[in-house]
Amino acid sequence: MSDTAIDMTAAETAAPGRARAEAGVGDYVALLKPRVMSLVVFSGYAGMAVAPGELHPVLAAVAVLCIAVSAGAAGAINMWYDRDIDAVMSRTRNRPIPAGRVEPESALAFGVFLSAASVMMMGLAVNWLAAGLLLLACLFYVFVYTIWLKRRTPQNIVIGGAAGAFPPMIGWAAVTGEVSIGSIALFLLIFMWTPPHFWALALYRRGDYAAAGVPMLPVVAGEASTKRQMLLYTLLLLPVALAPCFLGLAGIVYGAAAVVLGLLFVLCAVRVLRETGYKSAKQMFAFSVLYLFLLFALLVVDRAPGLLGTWGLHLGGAA
Amino acid sequence: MAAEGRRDRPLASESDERRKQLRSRNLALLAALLAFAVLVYIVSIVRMGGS
Repeated sequence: MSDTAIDMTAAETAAPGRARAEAGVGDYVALLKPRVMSLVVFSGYAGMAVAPGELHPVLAAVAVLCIAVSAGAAGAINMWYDRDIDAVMSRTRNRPIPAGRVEPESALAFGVFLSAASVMMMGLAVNWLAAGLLLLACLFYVFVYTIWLKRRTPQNIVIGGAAGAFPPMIGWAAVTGEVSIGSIALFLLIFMWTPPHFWALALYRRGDYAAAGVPMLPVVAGEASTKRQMLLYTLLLLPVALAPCFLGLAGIVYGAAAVVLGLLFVLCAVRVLRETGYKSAKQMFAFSVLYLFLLFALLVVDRAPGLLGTWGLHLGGAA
Repeated sequence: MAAEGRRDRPLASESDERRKQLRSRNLALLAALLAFAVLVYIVSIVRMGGS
């Protein structure tokens, strides 16, 4: 707790000269973590694309927008809470709050307002189950991951990863108005992908996390144990990634890609396990992003004829 | 006197910079509010269309 207090002082004095400057639009955009948001939005869209049923394209676009804004809002609240450790870590010390460009209270207000607005908009425009799941994802990320788990347990990213797994389930609920086995399969896919993805990053940023007092697995359990667990998760991910095929959500193209990409992910984990440096961990982190993006892209492509047909029907009807 | 003049110049430019930042932020807020109003209008039309 004392570490946090010391770090807080560091955050507040990080850039005293710049603290009085007005924050620009770019600083508020940065609070929304746009890079993280892009994958969240894409997986949410994929959930909508593979869900059985139809949704008017305008409402589908609103649902995607709400998912994006809510994810960004949760990111802004996360930056408000983590401003002390962000000031210590080299990866995050130039974020708007630790750099003194945005006042912490402004970031919190920004995040809370956008979060509430996106949930209300989702409820009014699409349906209240999707809105409820959106709210749950946001609350889970802020309260369970950021405030409760992140600084307390090396399993922070395992349990907290659920927050990032919600978007396809929200997209699915936007179309169908329900939670079903198909959306749970998509949830599990991201849930199982998250630990090896984050631990690859944590391996080569271990010093940063240790300095900030965040008990990431490589800091607490050591690199060897982390690498073994990364391999275990990539192996478990293989059958989980094939679940959409068995559930009839995707065809042979997706299935073949899931096997090939899954084996490449396992290969990455094996290379990380054997190597003493961090080169393969960096490569694995980059590949993990590509892995998830390709998997969801192929999931959409495998459903594309039906999707285009449905949307074409809507646009034709509107004309 | 000269020293004061030298100190004023950076302050004035700082103030200009600050005004510019504030203006761009206000314009972005206006754009966001207008976009939100248009979005609510479009959603209302679609929902009333019975889709």
